[in-house]
Amino acid sequence: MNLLETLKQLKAIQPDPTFSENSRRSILAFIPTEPISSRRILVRFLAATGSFVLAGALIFIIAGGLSTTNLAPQFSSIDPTALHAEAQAIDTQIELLNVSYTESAASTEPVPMVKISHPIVISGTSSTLAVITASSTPTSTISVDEILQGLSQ
Amino acid sequence: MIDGEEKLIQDAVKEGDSSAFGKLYDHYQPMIYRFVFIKVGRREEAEDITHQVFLQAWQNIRTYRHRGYPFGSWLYRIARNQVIDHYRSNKNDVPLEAADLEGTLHQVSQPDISSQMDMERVMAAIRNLKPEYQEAIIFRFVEDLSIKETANAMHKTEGAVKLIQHRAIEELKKNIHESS
Repeated sequence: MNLLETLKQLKAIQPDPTFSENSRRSILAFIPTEPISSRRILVRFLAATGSFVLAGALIFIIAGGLSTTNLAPQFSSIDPTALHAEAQAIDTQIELLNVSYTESAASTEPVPMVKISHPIVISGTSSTLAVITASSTPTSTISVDEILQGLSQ
Repeated sequence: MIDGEEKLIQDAVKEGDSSAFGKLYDHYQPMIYRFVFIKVGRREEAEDITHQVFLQAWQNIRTYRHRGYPFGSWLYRIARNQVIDHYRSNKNDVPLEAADLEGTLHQVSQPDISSQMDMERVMAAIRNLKPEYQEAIIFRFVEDLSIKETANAMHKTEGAVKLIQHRAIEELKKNIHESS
């Protein structure tokens, strides 16, 4: 047997034409699609992550730059003690204004006294708080403070 | 390699042109079929595997990247993997002796009975070789590729192919001698 000659004869091996035709038709009927490879997924992931990181870095740089260049000197010049003292002073003035208003109202407007014929009960308790009697026509002017003081006694 | 192969590959890869791939199929399918048939020895299995090779190639045509090797070497690589998968899934069903040549030989060059028996013995001896030797013999002596073309198809250097080819022939002769 001539080995090389026999090997060359193996080239006579051919697929069945019917098989070839059917196989060809069924293969080409398939429409190849764009593959989603792991590399492509990785690239998309890196692109998305990179944009987020870049945006974050830009925000950080911008905010950090403002705080160190523009805002920080202004904040450092503020004295918290002075601020507190100023706030206290504002509150005091408001209180004084209220007091003066109350005094003027009490001195100029007389309060008519009426007789309270029934006891005043607070919060459902049976204890009598106060009973004040007065004549139907006031004989003297009494300030609100004096009335409240009388009630508290 | 066929005329205008690069253009056909480009059309098939970039545009999914089925007619371009059809031409590539027409050219390479008989070679892939022979390659598979010599390795598995059964017509039905060779047909199934060949069909799978081209189906897989067409399904993954957009992943094909031309790296200087002919398109056929990509198909041979798919075929090699398909045959390995076939042997893995049919461990106890490997024909080592007789090959089913009936219906596979070209009608015009139909050899006589004696030649057919020689062919079957040689094919059985080839199947006993390791895959690398099988491929060197098929490419060099069956497909009649040059050393360079064989080196491209096997992704090896020309020197390595010469060495593999020499050892493969020696091993094949030994196998035939032992079987007779």
